[in-house]
Amino acid sequence: MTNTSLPEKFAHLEEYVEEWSIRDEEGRYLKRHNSTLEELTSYFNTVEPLLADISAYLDQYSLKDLPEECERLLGLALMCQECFSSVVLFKHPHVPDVLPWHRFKVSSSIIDEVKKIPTQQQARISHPVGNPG
Amino acid sequence: MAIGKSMHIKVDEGDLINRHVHYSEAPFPDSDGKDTPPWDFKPIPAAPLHSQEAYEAERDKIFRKRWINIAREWEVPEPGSYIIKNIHVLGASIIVTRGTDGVIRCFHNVCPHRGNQLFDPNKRPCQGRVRTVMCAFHGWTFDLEGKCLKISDEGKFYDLNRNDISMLKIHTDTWQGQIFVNLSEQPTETLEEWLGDFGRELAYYDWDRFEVAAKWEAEVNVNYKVFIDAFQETYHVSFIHRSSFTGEIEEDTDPYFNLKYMRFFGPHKALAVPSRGSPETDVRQRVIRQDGRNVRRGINLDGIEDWGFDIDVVFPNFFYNMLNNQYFTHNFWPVGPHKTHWECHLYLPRTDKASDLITWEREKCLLRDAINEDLSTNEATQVSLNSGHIKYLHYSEQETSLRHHYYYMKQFTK
Repeated sequence: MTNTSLPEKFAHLEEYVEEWSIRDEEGRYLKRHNSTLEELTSYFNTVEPLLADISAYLDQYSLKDLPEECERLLGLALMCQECFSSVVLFKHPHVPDVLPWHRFKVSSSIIDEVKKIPTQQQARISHPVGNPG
Repeated sequence: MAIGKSMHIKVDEGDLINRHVHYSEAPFPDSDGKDTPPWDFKPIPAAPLHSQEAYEAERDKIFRKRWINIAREWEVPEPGSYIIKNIHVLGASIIVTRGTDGVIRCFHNVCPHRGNQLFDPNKRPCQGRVRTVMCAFHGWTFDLEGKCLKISDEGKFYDLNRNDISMLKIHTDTWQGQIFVNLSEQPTETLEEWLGDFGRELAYYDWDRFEVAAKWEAEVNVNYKVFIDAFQETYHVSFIHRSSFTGEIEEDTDPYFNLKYMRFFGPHKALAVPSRGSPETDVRQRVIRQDGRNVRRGINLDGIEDWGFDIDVVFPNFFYNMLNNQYFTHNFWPVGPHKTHWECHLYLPRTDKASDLITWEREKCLLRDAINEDLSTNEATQVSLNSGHIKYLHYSEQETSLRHHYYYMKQFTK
């Protein structure tokens, strides 16, 4: 066993985990806009060819029960998608001729919070019982 | 009174260069039974896009009198959930709650004792879960149905019956997971009547398949009408999105990217945006999905072949962009005649597969970039309008939606 925080099969991506494995959209948006095109391109070119493999690997699990190392791998894949338009379309980290990026706010925290609600509690919405705890 | 009665403007297939618009189906409720739209085709005055007077008229006669979307059911997921919405144009701080009975109610964030804020943003979180609401000033306590449970030292009040006291209730109703309020004392119509045929038509959409996936916001120095106007015509696509929507624009047959139909339902409307690109020709590859062709379940109402998505507008400031595999909404909040707070929520199908999240993430980011392009002309336009040098604006048939909004804005502010 190599020393990796990712699934063994993707251990060679370990060096990217700390900086590029970001699970929330706001974090990815910030990372993209605070990186240089060279950094984004290098990362994108490394991970993009692996996206199909990563997807297939992660689909062994249900999203609800993703093991921690898979969560990290998912964070890497999502960050790769965040880089796509900068690297392939704009050749610049930022979208050209638009509102400055920091004025366009990605507010993912409220949504991340909602998504954490387990299915059981969701069911109580339509069939509420008793007092809220 | 049914507000959203249907009028249908269909754009002829095969007549894309020298097109005309059909007005058919039910006439407007206020067009004297004529089969034509109630507006004329003269240039439109620019003043309502920057004047304080127009802002105040809309604020008082539209935003504070009609049904307005302020929140979403998922924001108050459980019994006891609450969220505070401070909405400038409504002049109100609103508590949105889900009661122990599961029912969503809205109240003014005001204690009926002496007007203290029940949820003071400096002292309490703007969102959370509670059993009861206690005013921090003197301890008056309410349940989530608004009923007063406790008046501290009640015996010292004069002729005060606790049963007559409650939190200040706001008329509230929901539609497809969206929470609407009406701040007038006695609304002139129910939400169902307000949405009318429009609501009935859109109800066929497969709403339950989706869950929220993103929230984007911006504060933009622009009148809300200038802002929404950039989102209710496709005339700009060939220019603003020239680099990002390559493959969508057919230079030979439709260089100016015309809407495929416009359906007007009283003040509301449904507009069909075409889609011609394919993943091979369109580098943005499927921001607009094409698998909604001929669907007709609350979207693609005419079963159009090159249908891309519908823009569905709930008057005055709530937009749906409806695709087959996703939808997103815009709330355009006036914060004065020259400022708008914009909120966008994206909804994607519920999924249990990481591969879906990965595929959709690219489209999501592309959509986010494209929307920022849509925001890009706003502030410069507003500076020009504020100068007062342009008195009239010229709207083509492509910009009928803008004329439609202007017409209803005038009707409702009379």
